[in-house]
Amino acid sequence: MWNQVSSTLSNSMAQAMGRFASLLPGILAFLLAVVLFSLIGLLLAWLVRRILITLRFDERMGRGTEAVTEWSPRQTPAGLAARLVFWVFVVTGIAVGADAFGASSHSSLAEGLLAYLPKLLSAGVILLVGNIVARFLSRGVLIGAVNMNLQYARLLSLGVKWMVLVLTAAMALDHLQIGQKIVDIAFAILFGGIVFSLSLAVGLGSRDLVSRSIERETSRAAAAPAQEEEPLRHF
Amino acid sequence: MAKVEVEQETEGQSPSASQAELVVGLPGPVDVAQVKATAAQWTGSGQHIAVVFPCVPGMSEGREKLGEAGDVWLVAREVTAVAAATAPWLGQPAVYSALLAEAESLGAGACVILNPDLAAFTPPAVDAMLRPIREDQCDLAMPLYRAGPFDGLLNQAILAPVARALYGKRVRYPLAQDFAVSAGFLPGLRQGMSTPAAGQGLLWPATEAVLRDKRVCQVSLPVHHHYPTMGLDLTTLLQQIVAPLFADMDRHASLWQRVRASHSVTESGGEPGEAPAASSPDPRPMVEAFQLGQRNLQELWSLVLPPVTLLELKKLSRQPLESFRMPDALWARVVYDFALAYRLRSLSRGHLLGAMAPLYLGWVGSRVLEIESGVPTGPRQEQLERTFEQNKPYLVQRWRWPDRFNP
Repeated sequence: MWNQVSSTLSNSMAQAMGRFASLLPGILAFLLAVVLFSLIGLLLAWLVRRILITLRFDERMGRGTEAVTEWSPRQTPAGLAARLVFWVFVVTGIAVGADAFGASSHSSLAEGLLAYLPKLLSAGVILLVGNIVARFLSRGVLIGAVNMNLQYARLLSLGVKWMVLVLTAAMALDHLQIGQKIVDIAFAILFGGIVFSLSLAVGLGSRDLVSRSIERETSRAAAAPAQEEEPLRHF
Repeated sequence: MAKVEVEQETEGQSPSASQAELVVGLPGPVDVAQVKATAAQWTGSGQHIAVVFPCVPGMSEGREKLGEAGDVWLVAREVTAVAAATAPWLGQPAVYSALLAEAESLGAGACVILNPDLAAFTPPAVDAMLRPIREDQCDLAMPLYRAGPFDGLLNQAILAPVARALYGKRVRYPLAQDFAVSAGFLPGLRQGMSTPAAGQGLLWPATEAVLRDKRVCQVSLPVHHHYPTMGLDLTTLLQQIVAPLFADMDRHASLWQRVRASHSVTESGGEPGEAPAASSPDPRPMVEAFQLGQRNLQELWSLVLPPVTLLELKKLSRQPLESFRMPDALWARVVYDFALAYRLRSLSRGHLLGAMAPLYLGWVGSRVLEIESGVPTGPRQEQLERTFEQNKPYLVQRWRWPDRFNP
């Protein structure tokens, strides 16, 4: 009996090792493709950066690219272009590697995982972009609200940040096809609920406040032309 | 819109290059009828003058002789790529460049650039601006305006102190809209505006003069320009005026890091005096805006300011209104840190200037309180500017080693 167990175990081990060995060329091809494309990407990104700096790309683009660099403030336009080149090559390397891996492997699990990989990548990009947008918008709202002397500036900023983050998470989950209906319904309820409660709060609770605020703005606009002297002048 | 009355250019009508001894440039939309009426005062004066201004919409390029003597000409020039600024009273570099080019092409002995509101477009004011150029061999004459204690606060708080500390010349209005340029400095000033980065900023004549080792003078100019900023958002104002200053700092970093101390410039025409304030503004909303910023913008300020400065700002925000005073050294370091953050892009640039607005309002509130308590503005301003100079080593060290130097 011990012999039978031992033989079964060694057979299973041999099968497992065989399958693993059959995957090895694919894994190697994948890693090679990713490393090779990353190296090419690094080299090209460096070249692009040098060329753009020599051409004074940042200065020439000037305000045209301010909008782009505003979202990622630590990056100059030349830096962003170089980064873009690098990441395009890395993603291409992953795609080529995955293709090579799929060609050398006949496992259904591996094929399934490979088919899912592009969705994972795009979900990652959605999350990254959503995070950047959430940070940018929340900062913008916070600064704008403080400069408008709104006492609840931080609350507004947090609200905007979480709205964008929740929207991003819902989009990423939807893209990954995880709990699609549940996510859709939950998101619709959450968003609809927020908007509904805000309308109720403004319509019922703050009706007087809103009307007073509108009246004040209207009277200020009407009174503005009559003002001749500004008490202080910044410029 | 002004009525278009300048005649089309015709062969033989233009003054020859040697004829224009003086070019008066008006870098913005002007009332042509008013320009004609004022320029007519120079006819028969014996000197050949060309008054140059950009075409307003509906006007085409042209020249027109005024009077029978033929010594005064109006010249309208087409200037392309003029962006519509939110604050139209800020001169556009493309327009300045076109006016200076015209002055060069006419072989002018001097060029006087005046604010298009025409407040300084009078023979006495133009003569006053020209005198140091013609008699004292100055290359650039900057104005000394007659301003009230609550006028030009951005200039008092940031522009003048930073320009003095950085470039070592005590110019009181570095972003003046009226100035005179000698023939020798015309090409240099125009060249300073030809770089792409400079073309998108503002014109800082005194900085360009220091860069080219030219002589700067100041002239008392008792005029008062009214810039309507009431409806303009403070953040927008900071973005349009302070952001170009910070960009300029970045561009000329190699120059100003070598400059030590500051020197006074020759002044003529006497002290212009201080215009009386119509009314004293209420400092409470400004101080409250600062306190609100202190409560809410900590996260953003911590990306720009070192912990010591944050602590000092925190202490300041707890002071009651009566004793609210922003120390000069603190304000100088705040401005320098924001300039550095602009360079390092620690925060998106739009957000950076927005985050600076409550701090600036805190400074304004403090200045208003000081003036109300009877502190004379002249010596107080001198003290502030000296503090900016004393804190320049802080800026230089942070500029050179932004990560290492974090007190």
